[in-house]
Amino acid sequence: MNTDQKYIRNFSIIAHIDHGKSTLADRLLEKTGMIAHRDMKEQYLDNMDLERERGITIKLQTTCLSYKAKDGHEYMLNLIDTPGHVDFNYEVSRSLAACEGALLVVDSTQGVEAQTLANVYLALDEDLEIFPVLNKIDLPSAHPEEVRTEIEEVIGIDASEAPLVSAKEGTGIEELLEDIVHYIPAPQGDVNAPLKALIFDSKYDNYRGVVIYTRIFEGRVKTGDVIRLMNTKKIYEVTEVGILSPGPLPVEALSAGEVGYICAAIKQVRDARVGDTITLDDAPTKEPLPGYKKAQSMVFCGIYPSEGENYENVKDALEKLQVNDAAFHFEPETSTALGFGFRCGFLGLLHMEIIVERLEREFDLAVITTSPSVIYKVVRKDGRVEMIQNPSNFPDPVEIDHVEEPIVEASIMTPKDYVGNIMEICQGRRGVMKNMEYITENRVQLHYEMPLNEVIYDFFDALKSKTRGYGSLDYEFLRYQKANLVKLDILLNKEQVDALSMIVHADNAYQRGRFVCKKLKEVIPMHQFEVPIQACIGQKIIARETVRAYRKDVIAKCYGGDISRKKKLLEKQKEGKKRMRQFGTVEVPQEAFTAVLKFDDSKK
Amino acid sequence: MTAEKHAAAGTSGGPLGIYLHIPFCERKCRYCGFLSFVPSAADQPHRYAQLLAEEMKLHAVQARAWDAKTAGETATDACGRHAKGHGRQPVDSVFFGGGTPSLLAPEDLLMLLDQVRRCFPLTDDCEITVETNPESLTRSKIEALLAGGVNRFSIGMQSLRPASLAVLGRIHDRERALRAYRDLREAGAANINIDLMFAYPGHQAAAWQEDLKEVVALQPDHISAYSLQLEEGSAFYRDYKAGRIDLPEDAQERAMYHQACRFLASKGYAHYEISNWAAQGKACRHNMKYWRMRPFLGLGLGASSFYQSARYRNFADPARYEKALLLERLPIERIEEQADAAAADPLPGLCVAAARNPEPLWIQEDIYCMTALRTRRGILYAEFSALFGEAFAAVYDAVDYRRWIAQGFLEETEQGLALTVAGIDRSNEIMADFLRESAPQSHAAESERRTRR
Repeated sequence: MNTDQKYIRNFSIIAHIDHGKSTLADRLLEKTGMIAHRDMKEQYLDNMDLERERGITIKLQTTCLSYKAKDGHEYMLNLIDTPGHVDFNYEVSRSLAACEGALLVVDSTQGVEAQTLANVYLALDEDLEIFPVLNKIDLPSAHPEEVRTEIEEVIGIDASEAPLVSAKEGTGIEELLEDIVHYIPAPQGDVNAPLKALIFDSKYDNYRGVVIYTRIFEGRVKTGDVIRLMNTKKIYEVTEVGILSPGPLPVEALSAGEVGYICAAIKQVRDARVGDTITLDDAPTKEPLPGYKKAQSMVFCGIYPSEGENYENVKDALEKLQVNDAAFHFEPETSTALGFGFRCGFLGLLHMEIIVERLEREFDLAVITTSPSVIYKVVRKDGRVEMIQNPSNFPDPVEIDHVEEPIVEASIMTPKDYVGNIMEICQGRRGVMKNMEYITENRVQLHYEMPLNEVIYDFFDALKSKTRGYGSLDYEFLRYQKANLVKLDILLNKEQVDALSMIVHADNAYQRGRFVCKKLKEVIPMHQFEVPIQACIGQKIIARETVRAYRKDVIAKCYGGDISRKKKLLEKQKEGKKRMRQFGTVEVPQEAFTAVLKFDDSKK
Repeated sequence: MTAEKHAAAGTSGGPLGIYLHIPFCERKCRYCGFLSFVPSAADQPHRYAQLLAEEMKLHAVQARAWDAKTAGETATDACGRHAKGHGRQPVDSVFFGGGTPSLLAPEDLLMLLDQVRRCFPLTDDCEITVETNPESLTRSKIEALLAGGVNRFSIGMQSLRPASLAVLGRIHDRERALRAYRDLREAGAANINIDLMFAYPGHQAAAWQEDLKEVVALQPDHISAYSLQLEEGSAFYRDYKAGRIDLPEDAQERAMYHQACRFLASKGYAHYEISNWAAQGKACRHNMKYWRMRPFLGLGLGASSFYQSARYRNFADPARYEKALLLERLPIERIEEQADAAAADPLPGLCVAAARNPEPLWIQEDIYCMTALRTRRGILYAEFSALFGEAFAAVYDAVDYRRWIAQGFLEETEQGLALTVAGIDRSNEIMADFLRESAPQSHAAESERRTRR
């Protein structure tokens, strides 16, 4: 395929969650006839059920729109959709790197949000032309002119040309397509130079192996070429190249300026990592494209098969997910409380939730997840440094010289009425305020430095609950910092339940210990013996609750409707006695592991 | 059909028991975790009775159709036994339980009794029991019930101590309870049970002794004495877990139990099940079905059935129960999917579903052991082989129950195996020994073969 570069436009849509990015993308597809309206599932580009349900785009999709502009020429508009969440910042930045321009979609009822800003900065980093679009003008609460001013004041870009659209109703879409042709620059790259192409996404296909989504910056690539991935240094023979319209459409070759896909019998997504540079093995380009980063897990948790669930099934499912997700890692681990399971690493909390939900929905598995944790840097007295992400592996306190924890910079945007509430929750979570700025008269952005372990615990729930859902959060890793951290262990009937251990700041340990004990008391059923629940730091018990005993060893009533239930009861008792010899004695319902993570609304 | 299979009568045969659940109460008692509630509208009990009558009719229609279809056939079910609908399976016990059946209006009770006869072939000596509470048992109701053929009454007395009745959250008082009993006797009721409860919060041996004495003096035909069970969902469970109430210590609770055992034995009552005592010949025929693996049909909200060797439960949700009946479907949980599996069959009824989905034989055997051990007669070897076509000793060869015999908790005779009175205190543990974790090899093979067939 050899469209003249002046008839190509490569662009992304950036927006805050819910500002209508996916709907707008759908409209553009529809308007250019890429998909018939009747075939459209709502939000075609969000093709995972989960994404559609939550209204967020996690995995990007790319499509090539063919548009006949008013100047009479046929343009190839490559829409590179971006994931809409802070967990996927790196993926967003790579997608943006594949473009010359971006549509900045702002909800004209809401205005600029924390993520809008974060994404704009990412786009500016890539020198993109940013073209603002005011969406949702059909809503009665829309105030586009104020939002237009807000964009100019807050972001500092010209919004005077920003069109008014309603993606939902399809108004202003025609004009927007013209604007794209007009305002987004055409790509410029030397077709005759050695191949230089960016991987901005990849996915696994059962039949073709890994499908790489790429933007060609220089040169051209065709079927049969031997390509080299410059960072992983792997070499493959190209089996297919094509464009996305929006389904895959094989073409003869992809040239500078174009966006498309490459298949090369690659077996794992991690072998074709986003950000890597593709070149030809026999005629390589000199320098790879800048910005390549290895996927870095920030948040970890244990995933265990629930009672009655098969370990192998969970393993198979995790393997399948990993093949498709370079940022997700797992390795086997064993817990005395939960048996055999896996330690999993994620980009962030949302990423973790997504993986867990996919296990449950797509694979129909029942799993237990343990408290999320971050990576701590533990410096031992003998000078050895360890990076520890599983609280169970925390060394004995007497061996520790000090511990460092990851600190993030959190930007929180909120209507000004909730500033007080936010300060309260940030302070309660060891946040240090860096500054606060008024974005508009009514909206404020707060900048905090905060430990990541506080952010992943219940910060997001607290933020949503204390700002009635209006607060938005964005965060970025800053540095490791020394902190007075302790390992909080939970003992049930004097036996430590490793899966409930967590690392907390010494100042919060008592409060957290009391909270966890109280929650556990609510969910652990009565046994035939008293069950003490204790929270301790090392040998020191800092909180205690007791689940009373219910001890009868005789079933007084057993009639028709009771039989199955009583049989189960006897089996449970029998099982309990057997387990008593193995580990502990207490039946811990699965909800206990999640109950201790829930945001406590009574807490400040 | 092998000779061995032919010898097994199976758990589907013999006369059927029918249970009808009436889920209404004037007030929920503090110990109660049963499916019962205060009616939300004045006519709710009446409408419910209509649904129950509809459910009986459905059963009858389907069973008769099934019988007609299988008449003359040597149809055999999965276990090689004759499958036979209750269209011609005689019914020798009917039990109205609750809840509070006596809360229904006399005409509704009469209508239901009438409907039972219309839908099921009751034997001449059929035992017909109604559970009552003293408060709602008026004379007119007693007369209606007797006229309708009720021949056994159960009174939920629980205690005659005013303090105890208050603790339990009962609505009646001592005088009302005594009067209900007297009224029943005067009206001619010949078979009366009194329900008692002990070991509830604050209960003492002395008060218990007074209750026992006073109740025995009334000369009821049957006494059920239940140690308080903390049922999940009951007020007592919540209060106890939260530490708001206390219960007698286990030792004290067991002492109260044995106090009742000794006293009632001394007054000539036969201790025939863990919590049940009867005068000569007055053991409850209906309840015996639960303990000896005999078939019973449970009708009404949330009621359970063991029918054609399969176990079912009705919807416990009133809306779903009602909806199923309005659609002329049996209100049984999961029956739709089972009926779907049998879609080719023109009779999507319980008989069809049951014949296709019997409780696995090894589970039936385990349940037999668990429930039979509740009774004084215990496990009977001859009964076991008649029901299951296998020898008890061979099936439970691997279970080390002899250790209980050595400790005096079980006793073995030529006929079978039963708990001693001391063994009752350890009954959960002993019964659990007979519950296998998985299907034995021979049964797995058997079920495989059946599936292929």
